[in-house]
Amino acid sequence: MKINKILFYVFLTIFGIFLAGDKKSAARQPTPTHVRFQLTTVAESSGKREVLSQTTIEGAPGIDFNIDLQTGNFKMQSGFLTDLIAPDKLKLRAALNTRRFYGTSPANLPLYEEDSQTKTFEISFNEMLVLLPFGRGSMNETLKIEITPTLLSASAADAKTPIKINFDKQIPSGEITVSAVKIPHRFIVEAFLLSNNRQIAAGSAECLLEEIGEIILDAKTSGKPQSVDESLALKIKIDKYTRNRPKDLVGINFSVDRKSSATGESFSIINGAAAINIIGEEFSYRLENDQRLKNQNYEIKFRIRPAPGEQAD
Amino acid sequence: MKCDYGEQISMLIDGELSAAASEKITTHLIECEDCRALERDFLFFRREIQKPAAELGLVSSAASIKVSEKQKESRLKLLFPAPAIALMALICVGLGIWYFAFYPNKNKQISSERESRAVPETGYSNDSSLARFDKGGRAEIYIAPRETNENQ
Repeated sequence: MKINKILFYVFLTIFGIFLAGDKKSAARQPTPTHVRFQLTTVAESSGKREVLSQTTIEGAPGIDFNIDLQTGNFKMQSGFLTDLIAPDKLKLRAALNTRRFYGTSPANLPLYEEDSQTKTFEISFNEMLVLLPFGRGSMNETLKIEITPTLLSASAADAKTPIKINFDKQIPSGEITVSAVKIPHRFIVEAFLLSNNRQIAAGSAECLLEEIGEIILDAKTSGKPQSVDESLALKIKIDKYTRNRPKDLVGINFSVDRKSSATGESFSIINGAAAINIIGEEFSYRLENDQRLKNQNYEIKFRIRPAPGEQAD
Repeated sequence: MKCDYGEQISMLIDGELSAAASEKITTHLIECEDCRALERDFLFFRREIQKPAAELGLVSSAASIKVSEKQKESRLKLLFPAPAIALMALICVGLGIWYFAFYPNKNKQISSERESRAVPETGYSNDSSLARFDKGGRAEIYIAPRETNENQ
């Protein structure tokens, strides 16, 4: 009886510890969130405000959306990459391209006025982004597109649901179109340095889509009469993620510099190289531009995969 | 012809001689057949010259032929009177100003007509579409407080 009681209490204690641990781990798990963007097209004229169209985009953080406007002799293409960088802060990277018919040349050929802008904003959820497609223009008449983000809590099941786009109110002429997509933004880039098909260095870094990341590969050889006290600095930018079947593709731009730790000098070996490959698979690049490295048959292998938690819609 | 009064006879007809000289020449004309013939010729030619002017009405009366003592110095005769010439000059200046002032605008009008004839990207008219907001400005994007615009 006593033994049974002891065993019962031990079992209860273990069970209690187990429950407590489970609660803590649950508390450590981030609360699933959704981000909702409300895109409102507003015409302001003589102090009056008229809502012309309204679109709502909702989904897991990391939504990318495009707002295109085409009217008369003017065309605007805008793309927005969004990332939740803090519980109360959103990073918005905007790319604006406009094209306006200007007139005709003396040879009667069409002339266009083009503009391209890229801007990065860190916006909190009590702010909004305002896009003026035609600029501030006249004080009496202005067209605005207001992008209002809202952070929502979501259940674990909702966290993985696809993006929702609701066209609450549309402009009858269809001059403004909105599209959204969910692709991975954070990637783990692994780079391996091979000499005569033998791996001698490796490095990895987490890179954000369309931002440059750096990986240092220490090219110190061992077991050879002369040690190469140098390192290779690999700067890589993932500039494209393409939906494809059976697997998605990722495009990169990279450059390789050789740095001497003794002298501190840096020499460019590869500048402006580009590659596109299947996500998750390896691809290699031979380093033949530097004479010293060429003798060693140096080769860089890449493997790029989405960071944990990232998924394509 | 022996006489040397040709010029004086012409001046007599034009009324450009003094009274004494006129009387002298008149007396000579009574005596000299050649000078009388010359006077007739002068008068004939003057009549022929004055005929178109008379038909156009630009010569008001025969009295205008006589030049006053003050106008003897000027022998230059104008086909049209000075006010008419001034009016014509003013009209020419006005035409020149109009030509240079408005002709370049005509070229602009042609260019703008050509632009308007260019097919718009979407084919929508400017009256009902968002193109009415297009004043040629550059696109802008900025952060704004959320409360301010929601209260509008």
